[in-house]
Amino acid sequence: MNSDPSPSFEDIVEQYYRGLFQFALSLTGAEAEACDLTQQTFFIWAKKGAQLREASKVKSWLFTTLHREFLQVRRRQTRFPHVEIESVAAEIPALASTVINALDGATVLATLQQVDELFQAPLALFYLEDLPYKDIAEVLGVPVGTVQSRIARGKVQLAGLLQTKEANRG
Amino acid sequence: MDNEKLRDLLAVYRPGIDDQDDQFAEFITVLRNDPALQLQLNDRVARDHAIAAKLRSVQPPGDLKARLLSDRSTIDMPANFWRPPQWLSIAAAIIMLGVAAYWLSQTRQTTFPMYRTAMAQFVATEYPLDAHDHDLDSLQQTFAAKQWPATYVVPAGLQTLEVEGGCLREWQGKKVALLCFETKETGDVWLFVVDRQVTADVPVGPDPQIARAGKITTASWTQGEYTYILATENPEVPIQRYF
Repeated sequence: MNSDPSPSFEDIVEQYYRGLFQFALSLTGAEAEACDLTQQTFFIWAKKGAQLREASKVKSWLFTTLHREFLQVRRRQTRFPHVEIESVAAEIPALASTVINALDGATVLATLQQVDELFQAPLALFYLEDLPYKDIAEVLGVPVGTVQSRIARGKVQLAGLLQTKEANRG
Repeated sequence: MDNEKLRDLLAVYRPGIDDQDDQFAEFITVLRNDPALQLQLNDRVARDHAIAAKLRSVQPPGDLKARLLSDRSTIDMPANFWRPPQWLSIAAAIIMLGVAAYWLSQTRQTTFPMYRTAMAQFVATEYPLDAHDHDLDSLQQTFAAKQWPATYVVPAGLQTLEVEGGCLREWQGKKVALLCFETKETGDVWLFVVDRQVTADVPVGPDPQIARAGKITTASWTQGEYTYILATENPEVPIQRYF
């Protein structure tokens, strides 16, 4: 008897739909579109998920699928250049956690939408999901060094935008 | 490790998540012996956690989970068939499926939304064309030769797009002709044609009924002996333009 039953569709929805929705929302900025992407991801899971033999890969499979669907919708045919991690950390503006805490979730999400589109998906996965870098690289289809470079650069932009937002509030 | 590399890794290292990642091994060693670096890391991690908490605070709509589970009920394929194939379990599954299929054929009420969802799912993933043909008349002849639905009428707006080819599909024993169109401007557009008896609740009359199935937008109508579904994946192009 197998003591490790495969999770049901309901289990997988329960476990991942929030994270997938939040990832989709961070990519699209629109709730309806994020819902569509989440639904489409589970459609594809229901149809093709049986091909996945490793239960441990479900999470990255779902996020990979959602990201692919997003790119397809966006008609992003051009491949982004792959760059290795570069020195960018020193440029990150100083931003106190208290400043961030003063903002609401919708504002931070809207600010993430203003970051260069190239950096949005890596940043969203960095903040929302505790995935190892190799899994984030798999989801996005780029090398690990590129992922880290985009996250570091995206953080610079995001911190700058949040800082500006806070300054405008004050 | 030079300062530049140290700063780079400081920007992306996540305590607890990246500890087993080889690329951070040397950084972690340096970190253990550098209190100033630890303070910088703590400060950065606090900022990251604050941003992450804000992003996670945005919750999905209350009905999304119910919609996802409801979608599942119209999908025929099992999702949790993961275990390595073993002849005994496969044989048992085949027998069970046979029994279930017979039972379902006796009791299951198929509906037009089920048909529409199945068609949308088919084109939402990769599929091979049974006939590559850029000529609508020639494609129609191919369908006729195969005794598939062939006396259909392609809406005027759709005729302005280039046809790529077609597929011969079956759903619940009914023959479905699928015409595939594509342009750079509109993306993929599909026309499904099936006998109007496909389900008891097909749309009545020639006025298109618009509905979404995942990312696919559909318009369905009945005209003559056929029920049609026009489907598109590009939400930016109003589906009405194809009529």
